Amino acid sequence: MAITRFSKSPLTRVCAAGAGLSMAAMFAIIFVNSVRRYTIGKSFEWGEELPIYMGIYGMMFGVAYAYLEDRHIRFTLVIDLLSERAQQKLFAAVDLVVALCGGLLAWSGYLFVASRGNLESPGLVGRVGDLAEATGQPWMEVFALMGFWQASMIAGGIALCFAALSKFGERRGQFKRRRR
Amino acid sequence: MAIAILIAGLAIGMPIAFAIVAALLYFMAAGDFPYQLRIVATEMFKGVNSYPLLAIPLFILAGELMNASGITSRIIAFANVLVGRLRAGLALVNIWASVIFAGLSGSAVADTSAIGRVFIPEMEKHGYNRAYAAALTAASSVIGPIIPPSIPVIIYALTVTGVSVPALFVAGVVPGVLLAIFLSVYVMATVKIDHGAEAEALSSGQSAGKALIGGIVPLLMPVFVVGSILMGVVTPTEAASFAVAYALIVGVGFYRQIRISDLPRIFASSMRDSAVIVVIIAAVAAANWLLTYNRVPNDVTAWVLTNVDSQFSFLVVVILLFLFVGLFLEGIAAMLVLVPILHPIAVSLGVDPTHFGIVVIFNLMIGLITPPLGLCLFVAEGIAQVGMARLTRAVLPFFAVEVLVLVIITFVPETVIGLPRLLGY
Repeated sequence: MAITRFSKSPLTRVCAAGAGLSMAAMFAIIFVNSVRRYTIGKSFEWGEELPIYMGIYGMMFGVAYAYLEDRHIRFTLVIDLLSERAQQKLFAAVDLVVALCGGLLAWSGYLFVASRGNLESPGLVGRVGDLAEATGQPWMEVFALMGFWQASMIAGGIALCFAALSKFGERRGQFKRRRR
Repeated sequence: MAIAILIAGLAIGMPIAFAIVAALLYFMAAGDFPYQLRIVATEMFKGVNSYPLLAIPLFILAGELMNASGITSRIIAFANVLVGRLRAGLALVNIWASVIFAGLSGSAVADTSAIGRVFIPEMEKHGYNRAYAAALTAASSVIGPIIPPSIPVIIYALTVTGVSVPALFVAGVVPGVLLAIFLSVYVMATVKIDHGAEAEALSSGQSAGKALIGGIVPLLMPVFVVGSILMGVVTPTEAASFAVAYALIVGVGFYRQIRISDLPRIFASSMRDSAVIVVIIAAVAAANWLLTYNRVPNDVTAWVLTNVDSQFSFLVVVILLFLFVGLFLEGIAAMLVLVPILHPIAVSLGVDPTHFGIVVIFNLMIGLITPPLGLCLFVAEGIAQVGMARLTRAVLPFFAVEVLVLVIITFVPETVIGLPRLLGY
């Protein structure tokens, strides 16, 4: 798969694959739903909700992916005054703070799911129920629960935590190589 | 303490979104009832749980696909036929290529990157100062988010009530073109080295007719996308999905510059770049919950309405505030924090909401070329490598031209709302 060709670390591959697949699914659903609406006058009842949730999962993977590739917008006025070595040390410290932040976000997401996760998604519940019944797979009903989609905050927090720790490890490796 | 965490986080180079999230997490974890850690994830989720917001990643994807289709060279050849033979031809092609590019990407940073790679070396080769070329490229890129389709416009319309995306799209056309005209007049009046012949280098031996035909394919996309939104046929999100489909057909089928195997990379990088913007929206949504819960917007509104009694003085304060804030805060973050507070005040004072929206967006986009956080300036410097101090000096005259246009569109509202009214918005 081409997605694995442009990145090396497994974590980057997972985040890139998650982000790319979410984008592709989101585009496909919105496009097909719009074409159906303007051609045959019908649209999927889940055609608006599902791409939103796909987009949120995609965003959370994209956030970690962007962190791994140093793409996030930073305020660099103060750190530009420091030497490159000091900057790298500061960025390594930032990586640890962001890892902690990702962990806490995941915990916050868990509390969110625990308190509101049992709500049903109005656009999905009908179709998911039909699908579970038709396939004889009751576990599929999990897709109708908001908790499954709210869990994107847990997944994103964990991915961000790992991305920041991975970045920290990368910077530490660079320090060691420079010392040698 | 939470404010101290935010400031310290920003100062040590923490990404803006995470600095906000870190401050909120601390506040919620350490605070008494009703503050709970759960609120951060809840409000972030709510902040991005929006169908219209999906237009942002889709427009970014359409722009990426168009870029990968080798569209830049076609746009430049097209602009070259239109203005390349005039005085300061190369500089003019740079500006008008940005206008056309604006209709495709809606992102100033993408514009600086795509146009800058071609123009900065080319303009230097023909006698322009390298810093001047980089400064002009960054300055003309500001047109991108003003002319539709525009990502800041979508975010603005989501942030406030009573303003529609189509109305804001139409309202941005005249200010965007006005800025291009003012920049063109400025370069024609000040540049003495280029009399048009040099611009022929950009045509790569193509005939004018071929260049014009080559430019029509990319130009059809904004015409089709914006046209269908304005006619009320599709919503902005649906239009963005049609733009992606169009870009796919052009890139894969028509120009054959994109291979199917390139698509996963393009989809992933588009979502990555979208996430950088959307996570700021999510973080600021959570911060706004806290501000609203504590009635900060109401208190600020009451204070301003007691102390500012006219539209004129309010708009002067807004211009100065956003120019100042634009120096230190990323435009979208600044918009998300300040607009929910300032928009109701503007409406209370009788300012047209669409007019106010475009003034705010134009104002914040100027921040893209002001140090220390001018993103277009960073991108141009990355290509030109002339040093930030030299580039900042070179960009100052363009900054002055942009502020002049800002003053015009602020105090002559017809320049902004004339076209939407003509079209019935």
